[in-house]
This record gives sequence, C-alpha cells and structure tokens, in this order.
Amino acid sequence: MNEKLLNLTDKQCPVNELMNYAKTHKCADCGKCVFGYEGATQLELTMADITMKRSRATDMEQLKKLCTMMVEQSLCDDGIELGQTALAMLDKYADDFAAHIAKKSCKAGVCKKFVTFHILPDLCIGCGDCVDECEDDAIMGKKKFIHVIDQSECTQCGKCVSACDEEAIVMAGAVKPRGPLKPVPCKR
Amino acid sequence: MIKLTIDGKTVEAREGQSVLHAALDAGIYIPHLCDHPDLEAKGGCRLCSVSINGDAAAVPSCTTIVEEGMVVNTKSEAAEAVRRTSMELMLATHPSECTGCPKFGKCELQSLYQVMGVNGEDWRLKPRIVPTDEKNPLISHLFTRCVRCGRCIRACQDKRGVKVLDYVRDASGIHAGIPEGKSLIDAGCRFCGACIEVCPTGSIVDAVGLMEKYPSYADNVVPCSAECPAHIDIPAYIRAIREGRPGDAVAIIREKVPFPLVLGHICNHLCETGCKRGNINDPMGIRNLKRYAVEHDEEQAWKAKGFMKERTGKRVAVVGSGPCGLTAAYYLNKLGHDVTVLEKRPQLGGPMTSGIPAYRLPLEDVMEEIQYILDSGVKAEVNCTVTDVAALKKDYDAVLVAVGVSKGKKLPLPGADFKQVYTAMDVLADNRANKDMSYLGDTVCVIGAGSVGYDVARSLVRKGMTVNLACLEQADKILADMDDQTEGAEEGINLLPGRSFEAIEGTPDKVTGLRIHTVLSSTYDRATGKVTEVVEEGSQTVVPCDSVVFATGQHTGLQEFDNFGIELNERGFPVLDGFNTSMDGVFAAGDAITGISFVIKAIQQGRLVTAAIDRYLGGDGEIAETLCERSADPHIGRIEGFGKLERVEQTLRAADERVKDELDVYHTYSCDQAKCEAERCLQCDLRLQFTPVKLWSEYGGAN
Repeated sequence: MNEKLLNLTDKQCPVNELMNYAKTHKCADCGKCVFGYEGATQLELTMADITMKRSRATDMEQLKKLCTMMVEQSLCDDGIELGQTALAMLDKYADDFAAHIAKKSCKAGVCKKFVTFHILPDLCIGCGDCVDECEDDAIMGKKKFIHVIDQSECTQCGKCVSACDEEAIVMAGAVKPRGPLKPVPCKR
Repeated sequence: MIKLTIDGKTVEAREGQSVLHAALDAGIYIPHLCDHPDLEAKGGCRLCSVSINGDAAAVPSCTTIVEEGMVVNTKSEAAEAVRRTSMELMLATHPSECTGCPKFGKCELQSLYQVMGVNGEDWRLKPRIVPTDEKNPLISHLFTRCVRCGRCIRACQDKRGVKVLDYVRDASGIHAGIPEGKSLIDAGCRFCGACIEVCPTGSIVDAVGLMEKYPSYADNVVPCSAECPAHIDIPAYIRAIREGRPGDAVAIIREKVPFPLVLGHICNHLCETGCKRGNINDPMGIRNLKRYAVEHDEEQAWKAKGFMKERTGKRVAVVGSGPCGLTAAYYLNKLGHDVTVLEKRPQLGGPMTSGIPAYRLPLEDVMEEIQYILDSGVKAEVNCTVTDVAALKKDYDAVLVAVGVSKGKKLPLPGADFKQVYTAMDVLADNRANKDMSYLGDTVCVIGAGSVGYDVARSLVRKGMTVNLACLEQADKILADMDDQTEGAEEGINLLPGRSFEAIEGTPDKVTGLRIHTVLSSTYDRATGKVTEVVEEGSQTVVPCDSVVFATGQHTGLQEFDNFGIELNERGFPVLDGFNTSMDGVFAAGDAITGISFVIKAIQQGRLVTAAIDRYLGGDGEIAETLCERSADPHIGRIEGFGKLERVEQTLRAADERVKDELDVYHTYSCDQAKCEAERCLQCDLRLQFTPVKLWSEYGGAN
C-alpha cells in the first residue's frame, strides 16, 4: 500500500491524487490481467470524471467492489497493491470524495472545475484588460466600471488572473469573496 | 485418474489437468477466454472463475489443478460476480460495434458476452483506438479489438519460438503488437499464422480475401495443397526435405501420385500460384524440390509400404498408357483387380514418352516410374490399337478409355493439306522416337505458341533448324509457361506474336512459305467460336519456310474409327455420366474427357476414375494410403531475415550449350540449394495443429 497517498496535505486533493496514481501505476503499463489493467483504467477514468463534475451517484459503491476484486483477482502484487491503496483512500478520504460528488467542491482547490474566479471590487480599476484576455466572453464591464465574472459562462481557465496588473482577480474554493452581481462604477 | 465433483457431478480428470479442462471434457461449460488448450494457462481474464471447496474467494479454474475429492462450484455467487465484472471491464474498452468486424459470428468474446448477457455500460467507456495495419503481407492487425488475452503472444513466443509479438504500448494503451513499430518482415515474422489461429477476437486476421477462395477452412490455410489437382501434402514433403529426409518426401508425394519424378520435371505447378510465400516475395520452388527429393531418395522406403489388396479376379482393360491410364492401372492393381494396359504406340507413357521432349523430361526418368508400375503387377501390351471398345468389353469386367488427345488438329487454311504440313503430335512423336527430322527442311513455321507449340519449336531448334513460332495472341498474352518463353527466346526461336494466318504458299508437293498478317487485337466469341480481328493495314507478308507445323489443338481421334462402341459427341469426346460412358462397365477419364490438360490433372483423373471403377466392381473405391507418418515440430524458432530469403532457382544450362543436345536444360538443386529453398516455406499447415476452439454454442447446450 502506498503510504504517501494516505497522508495527504491540505493542498492535495485525494481524487486528483488517486487519478494520477492509477494513470501512472505499473498496472496501466502491463495489460496482462483484466483486473489490474482495466481496474487501473476504470479508477483513472472515474476519478477524472469526478474532477470534471461528471460523477455518478453509484461511483463509490462500484469502485469499492472493483477494488476488492482487484485485491482478490489481480495476477501479481502490483494489482493487489493498487486495489488496496485505492480502497484505503476511498475509506480515509470518504468525505472528500463525497464533497466532490455531492457538493461539487474541492477543498484543496485543485480540481479546477470546482473553483470559481472573482474580481475584487476594491482593487478593480475598470481597465478592461481582463475582458480582452477572456476567450469565453465571461467578463462583464466597461471602462471605469468594476468588472464582474459571469459564473455561468466562465470555464475556469484562469487566464484573467495573470492578465490583471492590479491583482484584482482571485481564485476561490468553498469560500467566495463578496462583490457586485453587475458592473458598477469604480470607487477609485 | 482423479475424482472430483463439479457442480454436484462426479468427474474424472487426468492428474495435472486444470479444473477448467476437466469440466469442459466432462461437458460442463465454464466461460473462458485467455485460456487456449494448446497454450500455457495464465489466468489473466478470470472469466473461468470458480469456487473451490466453499472458499469465499473465487479462483481461476484454468490455473487450478484438480485434486482428489475437490468440490468445485462453477456458479457460486463469488465466481459469477468476478466473471461478470471482468467481462464488463473488457467490454467497456472494446468497440461496441460487432457487425463490421471480420470475426463477427466466430468471435469468442462476442459469443461469451452473449451467453453471459452482460455489457460494459455501467462503467466508463473508452475505446482504445489503434490504427488498423494492413501493410504487412498475409496478416492484418486490427488491435483496436485486442483484449490483451496474450494468446497470440504465447503462441508466437513459446509455441513457435519466433518471438515477434509482445505487449506494446502506444497512446491508446497496451495491446498485443510488434515492438518498436517494426513491420512483420523486419521483426523476423515467419508468417506461420499461429497468432491468427489463436486470436479470440478480430484483432489478428488473415489479410482480406485470403480465406474465401475455397469452401474448406484447411484448403484456405494451405492453398498449395488445395491448388494441386492431386492435393499432395506439400508442406509436409518440403519439411521432410528441409530436415534431410528426401525419402520421406517422396513417400508423401507418392501417397497421391505414382509419377513424382515426371512431375518434378514438367508439372505446371499450380501449387506455386497458391503458395502464400508468393505474397511476401516469390513462391516456393515446389516443383524443383520435388525433383530434388526423388533424385536423392536412396532407400526408396515407400516401396515396402502402402496397401495391396487381395486379388478380386476381376479383369480391367485400360486403353491408353498416358499418366491417367497408368495411374488408374496402378491403383486398380493395388485394389486387387487384374489390369491390362493397351497402348497403340511401341512405347508406354503417352505424351510422357511420345510428346514432351527429352530436354524437359528425360526418357529414363519416365521409364523408371513406369517400370515400377509394371513391377507392381500391371500387364501391358504395346502396338495395340483398340478400334472397338464393345468387342474389348466382352473380355473384361471393366474398360477404361484413357486415350488422351493424341490427334493434332490443323486450321482450315488453304494449303493445309500440302505434303509438308504436319501436326505437332506427329512431329513430337517422331522427335521423341529419334527419327530423322530432315523431312521438315531447314526452315519451319510453327503455328500456335502454347506449351505444345514451344515443345515443337524448341525441339526443332535443337535439330539446327530455323524456327518461326507464330500465334494469334499478343506477346503479353502468350499461353505457354514463362520459362518456355524466355528459354525459347534464348535458344533462338523467332517469335511472331499477334499474327493471323491466311494460307500456306507453294504447291501440294512443296511448301514455300506461310502467308500471315499482323493483328492489333483479337476477340474470341465463345458461343460461336468466331474470332474477330483488328488487322494492321499493309502488314500482309509471306514467311518463307520449307514446312509448317500446326500446334493448334488436339482431339481424341476416336471419331476416326467406324464404330468405337461408345457414344461420342460432335467433337469426338465420349458422352459421359460422371466417368461412365454410354456402355455399362466402360469408363473414360483424362484428357479424353477434359480436353488437353496437364500431367498432374490427368493423374488426378486416374485416381478418381479408379474409385469409380472399383465401386462398379464391388469395391469401396478407397485408395488413400499413408506412406510416411507425419511429425512436425511446432517450435520453428527464428531465422534472421526470413521474410527476405530469396527463391532459389535451378541452374539453367547456357543457351548455346543446351541447343546442341537433348539433355535436361536444368540441373537439379544441390543439397544446400534444396535446404535453403525448403527453409523458406511458411509451414502454413502448422496452423492446423491447433486444437479448434469451441464457442459456447458448440458445447451442445450441456448446461
């Protein structure tokens, strides 16, 4: 069992970690047994779907059964280890997985699909540089107005953050900064 | 034997046998995919999961060895759960569309998911797309369909020792394939087809069209034997030659034909057109290997083998001693009948001794094979022309008319009845009888450039004559074998292709030339027999010559007798029902029923008519015999550069030397040459050693 994956820091997302672990595991590079190879594939694909807001209600139950079979039925120790590690993570980080699936939130802020971007009204000077950068036309505003990101259009690409010289654009996890819903004239 | 219980049924198994095969042998079906009866079990797919002695965890039955008193449950909840999950996981990454797959209906995976009633839709679906590779000869790779069972890899690495296939990785993931992106030839593939044979899905398949030529699977796998009219076991005799057993090779050939050496010289080798090696570079030199084997068969062990049945007391007359007549005589005698061959010429052998020239077929080689037939008990009379088969039938229980087509035909040209106008049959017979040929003069025109036309032309070149060989066909459509064409040209034949014939010039006592014109194209209407020509304007010319020889077809000559006794059609061929003529007990076969053909075809006719005659005489018609027990090592190993090994040709004597005599134009392979050539064989027949895998439906619904 991989101990590192059971001692994650606050900055590490278990869904993302398990996805990458399955993707780069020896089992993904072997192919000699169904439970090792296809098990690793399903772990990776399911984790990827969870991070992309495409989880299914049955995912946790299905993966637990799969991982139990991987432990039982893999041809070599590698598949057994992957099954054990995944099982232990699903258990230890059950709340994180549940948060991703049910609340669509990533506590560590790693899963880009779950974060939102916001323009801080105190810092925005209404220059419009972020509007020029946004390929999805998700930023509302005009000169000298505090700009506002339309969350229904935003694809979380994050390009606006670096485009803003005032460092007025921030990424947020579960806690969102306050701000206007529509552009209003700048205070400064 | 070991006794165990499977699903409540007591089953006996061999010691060391797997639970899976113990169950299958007992008619208890357990799904399985990565297991193959001829390959080491690995246990990767887990479809064959079972529970043993009530244990909680299921185990793969393919890698579990039977034990005395073992209790096996193939349908336990745990086993079924593992089996279903494994199948679902495989299907989740397998293309869902089956109908476009070459293996549709014969696919083990398809059969399995149908019987198990599962699909992969509860899982994340991800087809692993691998580009289809149809650039290799003979074998197509469609690894999008690979399920990584590893059967092809085990077959290639362990069973064959060729070690070309392995697990490879590309952007789509892991699949079976050729490491480093090599071609099969560069990787050292021996094209044995084991991978195709064991692949349960449509991932490794025969190249498009290869398996559709014949109705029988085995024929498609081994097309050389399928193409051979006598179905000689060609891969087996090539193997014997390679392993230094020419005597065994001859025995294998003799299981089907009594004229191996004749065929080694002059067979038209249809086998080589079928040979799969021809899809890689050039086909095997099968005919040349045959000749090598016969000429190196010191012990002639086959003579002591084969059947010789009790005498039946039945008498059979065979009219004609060509390859068909003598073959039938040989086998009818072995079947116990008293056989007398009646030959109109002074020498036995038909076209083998009175047609085909000595430079292609040395007389002593034919006579040796005919002598063996006589030694085996066949009686023969020469200089004996049968003119009334009805009268002959009174003295025999059965009569075979195998007179061939020994009468030459002339085209109806003005002057065709002049004295110095001959048919190829007569000229070749005189030539073969070492007669003085000076009656043809110094310059000859031969009409017709098929095998017979070339035989005449090349024979007369050897008499120092100037030979013009003219035919209606354009140069690229000439009917004769390519060897005849190139060797004939080297020997100085003046070929006049694309010519039409107007008249023979001269007087009835003195031919002076052949009047011809050039034809740009011509079409033949089968229905009316009419030829339509596009003539080149002003091309009419007279080729001066002292004589003209027609090599433009042959017929039986039977219509020349007042009453031969059997019904003939308007072309002089016997009217037939199978091999039966209009008279009870009188049969006909060979060129006399097929029209002009090749020796190997006539031999097969002889075999077939033998069966018909034997059944008529109360026998079972069975002439199959094994003169050499087969053994073939499936572990063929690697041969560096195998795909690029070039065909070895027999040494051809220099043209200026060979036109001076009547000796064989070719030298037999040396031992080294023969082994090199035999080494090139793909051994397509090894594929047939694999135990056929049965689909679920073929277990007869045992469960």
